[in-house]
Amino acid sequence: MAGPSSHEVTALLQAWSLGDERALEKLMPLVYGELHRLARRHMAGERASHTLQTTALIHEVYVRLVDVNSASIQDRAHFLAICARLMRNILIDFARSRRYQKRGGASPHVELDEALVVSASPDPDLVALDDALQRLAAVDPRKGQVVELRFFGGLSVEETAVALKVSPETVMRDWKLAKAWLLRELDRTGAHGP
Amino acid sequence: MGPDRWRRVEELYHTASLLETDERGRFLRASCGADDALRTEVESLLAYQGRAEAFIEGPALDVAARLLASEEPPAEPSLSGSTLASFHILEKLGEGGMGVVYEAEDTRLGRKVALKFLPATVAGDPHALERFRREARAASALNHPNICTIYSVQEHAGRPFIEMERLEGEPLRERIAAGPLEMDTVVALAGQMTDGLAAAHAKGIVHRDLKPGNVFITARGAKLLDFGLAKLESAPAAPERRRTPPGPGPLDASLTDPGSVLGTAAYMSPEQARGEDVDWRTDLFSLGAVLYEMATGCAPFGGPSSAATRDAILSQEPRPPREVNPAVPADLEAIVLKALRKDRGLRYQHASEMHADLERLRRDLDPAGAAPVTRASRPRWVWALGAAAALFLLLVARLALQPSALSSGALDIARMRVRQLTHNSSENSVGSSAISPDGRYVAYTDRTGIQVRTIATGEMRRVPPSENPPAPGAVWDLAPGWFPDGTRFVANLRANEEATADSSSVWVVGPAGGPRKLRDGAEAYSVSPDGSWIAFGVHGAARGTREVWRMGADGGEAQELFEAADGGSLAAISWSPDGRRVAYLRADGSGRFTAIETRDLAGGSPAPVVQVAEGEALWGILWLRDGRLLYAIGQASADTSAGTFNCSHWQVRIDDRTGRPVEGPSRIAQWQSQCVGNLSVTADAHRAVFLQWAFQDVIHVADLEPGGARITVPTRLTLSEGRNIPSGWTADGRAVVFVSDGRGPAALFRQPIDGETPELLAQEPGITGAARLTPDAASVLYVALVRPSDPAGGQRLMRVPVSGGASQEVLRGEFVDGGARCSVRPSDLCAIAERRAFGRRLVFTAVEGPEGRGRELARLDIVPGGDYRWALAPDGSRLAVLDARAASIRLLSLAGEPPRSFDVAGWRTLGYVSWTADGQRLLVPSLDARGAPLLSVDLAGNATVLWEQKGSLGTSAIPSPDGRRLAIWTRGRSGNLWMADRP
Repeated sequence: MAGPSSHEVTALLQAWSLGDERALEKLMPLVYGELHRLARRHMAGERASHTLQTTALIHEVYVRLVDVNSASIQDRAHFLAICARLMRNILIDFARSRRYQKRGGASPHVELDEALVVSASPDPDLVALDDALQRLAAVDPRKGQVVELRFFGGLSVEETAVALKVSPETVMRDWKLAKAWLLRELDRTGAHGP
Repeated sequence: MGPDRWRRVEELYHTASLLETDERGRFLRASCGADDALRTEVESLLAYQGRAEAFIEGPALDVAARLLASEEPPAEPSLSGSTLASFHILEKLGEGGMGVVYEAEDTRLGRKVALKFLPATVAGDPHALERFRREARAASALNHPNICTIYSVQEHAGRPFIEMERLEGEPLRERIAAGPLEMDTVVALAGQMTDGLAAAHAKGIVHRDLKPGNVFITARGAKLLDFGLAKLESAPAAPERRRTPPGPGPLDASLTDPGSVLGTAAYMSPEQARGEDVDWRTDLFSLGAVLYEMATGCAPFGGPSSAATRDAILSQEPRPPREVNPAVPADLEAIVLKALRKDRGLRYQHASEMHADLERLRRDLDPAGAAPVTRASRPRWVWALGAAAALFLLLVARLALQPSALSSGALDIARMRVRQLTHNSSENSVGSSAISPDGRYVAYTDRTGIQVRTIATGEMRRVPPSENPPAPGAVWDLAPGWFPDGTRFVANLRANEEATADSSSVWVVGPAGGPRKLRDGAEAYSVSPDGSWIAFGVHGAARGTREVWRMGADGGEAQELFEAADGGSLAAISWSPDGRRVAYLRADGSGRFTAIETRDLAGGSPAPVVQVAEGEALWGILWLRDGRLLYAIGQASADTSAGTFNCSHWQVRIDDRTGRPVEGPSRIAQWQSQCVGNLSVTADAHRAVFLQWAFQDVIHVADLEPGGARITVPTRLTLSEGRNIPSGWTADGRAVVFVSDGRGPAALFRQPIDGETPELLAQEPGITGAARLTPDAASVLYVALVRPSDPAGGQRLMRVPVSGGASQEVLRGEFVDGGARCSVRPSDLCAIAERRAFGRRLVFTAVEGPEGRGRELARLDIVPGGDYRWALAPDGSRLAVLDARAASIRLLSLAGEPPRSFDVAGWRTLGYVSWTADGQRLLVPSLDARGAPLLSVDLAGNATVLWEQKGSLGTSAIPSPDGRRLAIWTRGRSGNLWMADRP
């Protein structure tokens, strides 16, 4: 992998989790690299949901960033939580920039037209989802964390359970309710998929 | 909402969600009582339960990637690495308005081809598609040395593609970019292009888009590409009109929208610029524009925009070429300007007219050019590197027997159709074959004896055994071929595969009855052109015979012709067209065929023809009736572990008076990892048959009995063709993980030992058989080439999870004996071996840590260039290093104990090495020409044979983690009969 070595990435992640925003700038190209790599796969007609397990996909990214497996289990969960936060940060920034580029100044009609052509299970609008997630976290912080870890971090139920020090059953219950709550919230605010 | 109330919502939601839908209302009414707000809140969340199921189950990164992908212009998915029909797609060669071109290997024929896929926009338009099919089929009828040959038009998933000749060279466009060409080059290439155009026009095919990007400069001259495809770029707006073509066949000459050819405005004719009908004279105008640019370095018409360029084409006279480049001969200027006349009635009216002018000029420029114009100006033969080319050459050569066929018509043979005649397995490989001169029969041999097949009906006749049936292990060899009358053929019977002439006999097989023996202790080579003599050898050597004799067709009148000098030997005697000389292979003392010589049967010293270098060997010579001698050169390939070699076919013309070459040899075909054999051709040159071999790697599973020195009868695990190479076992020992290309591109599979169907684990482009499971059986470490087409360009050790997912590069290097080896749980070690200190040391390194390359485990001084194999003990405590040439094994402790060595008693030429699960024995195959028995060797060097499979070329085994089973890999080679003929 070009760019910083695994050691450096780990150090950058730690620096960022302690509040060093400059570290984020250095980490961003790595995530963007993965993003573009994955986008190319989509353009090549590969359906990631068919060919890859979702958690494996994200872990693949983390493995590219740092050697996750070398850390102890609890360290690892902590580390994955930082990664999830990092992902959320970068991906929402990315989605926001795209939304601006794509829709900048356009009338709401464009959005309506686009809404008409979305498929039965559209991708969520990441920016709207992030807003809704912030509101969910205000009501129930743990459910907010579950979504952050699962959706942005790509963690499995078990990994999420370790990171949050709760049982996998609790994570599963939180996850189910959080998804229903978020979907309702998105409907209420009129946010459709892109 | 307060936390308590939210907790209550949550509880009710989860309880209700477990109930049937119709019970939920009752439950919520009962639970919420009068608190309607609470009930509504829970109900509204429950309403989203169904949709929430799939919501954000995919990770955000994937959502963002799809967002990004939706914004990018849709790119053509790369086909590299995939397999379509019989094509293995290699790399993209180029991309343009007319689609994408890939290099591909036709795995059936082992030849490299180019595949051109239409752009999706054309493929999606039914009108354009129909025209494409029509045009491509018409163009595929063109067979000319200056036109890129179209082999076939096929479709994949509704997407049509053209299979065509793979050209080596550069587009004229790139050559021109470097400035004007030498004048004699311009004239020579122009002559070739007009020749190609003349052939196309004669078939009613107009190119329509001749430009420097559509002309390819190869080592043997110009090649025109993309005949008739240009107009596909235009929309089918106007109804198509027809014109009378200058030759046979319909000419569909519409060009609808002039705007559609903007891209090539600089070379378009005035009639194209006006959007009028085009005909063959349009091509001559475009050729004139191309010649202008070749000679001067700039295009005749140009402007800041395509509209301005079009204006110039319609109204301006080009600047005379000699004003731009004074080196342009006056005659060439005249030819170019005549081609560029705006009124097509004033241009050259036929390509042949322009060709004649160019040839006259070419002779004027070359004072020594006394050679006949048409022959010297044209690349001599189709030179493409491929199977069809070799066959094509043979057919052309045979046709050339008739003087009239020497005209260009002789080259105009329709495309070859190639098909497989037999489908024998590696255990019953076809051994040799010969087609009858009339093309009605092909005689071939397999383990069951000699068969004669009637080609038209597929009917088989098994030649009955002779009165004294051959001993077990005896093999027939039909290489001597048929008599010219097509009623009988000559066969050798060898005592076994390795037998020399001393234990062989010569037989003749007639239309009925069994073979009749002509002579013992001899090996027949060929029948003379008049059918009166059989050349044979006696006094066998390692290869061939020391003496060459001839006998009459009935076995009488035997007399010695000549013998080998200095302890060498001779083989493959082939008669000259007039029967007065013979050509043969000469072997040095080691049995390697290093030279081809000819000899006058009336006496005199041998005339040298070909001598090959160290590391190469000759075989398979065939002296054609027109004086050309065909032969093959084999070389060991870089991939020695696969036991493969590369092979090329060459031709050299022989002077029948001196027996020496008239000119240097030229290569006509290149084969990767294989060679065709037993090439034979009919008298009318319509048919040829040959043998092709394919490797088959099969995995068997057997139970290993306690003690590790015996196994139960192995049962076959993999049922597919192709390569199946084990990587290891699942942790429970119930399934074998292996790499297979039997069902498409190489991929990782898992198959239960009691199941028949492999389950795809991961599709990995570039995955090789040198793959090993990690100790936890969760990932596979495999080796891929850094540059897929360059075996010397370094290797990458890759890791891919067996549960699927993308692979990740672990480290780069050049690994000894495949790739990594891993121990088995509870040990946790994977290692690689690399040569260091200029090949004098073997260094073993742990695969670990963030950089992949971990601590050094051990080192061993070795002989540079030696063949070393190695294995890591399952407990990770030591290494076994096999010196394959010395058949000695060295054990290296990783725990600080001193190393020790032992020889494997009684066995030579050992292959791969692996440990049994208990670390007490080694599994090693012995490799020699007779087979590849799998040995179990104790750590004192005592070996017992575990298993031997007939016809095996190699074997190895991986024990299951509990040590009770072996996954045994064997490699076999199946030879099968193929036929090429005119469609």
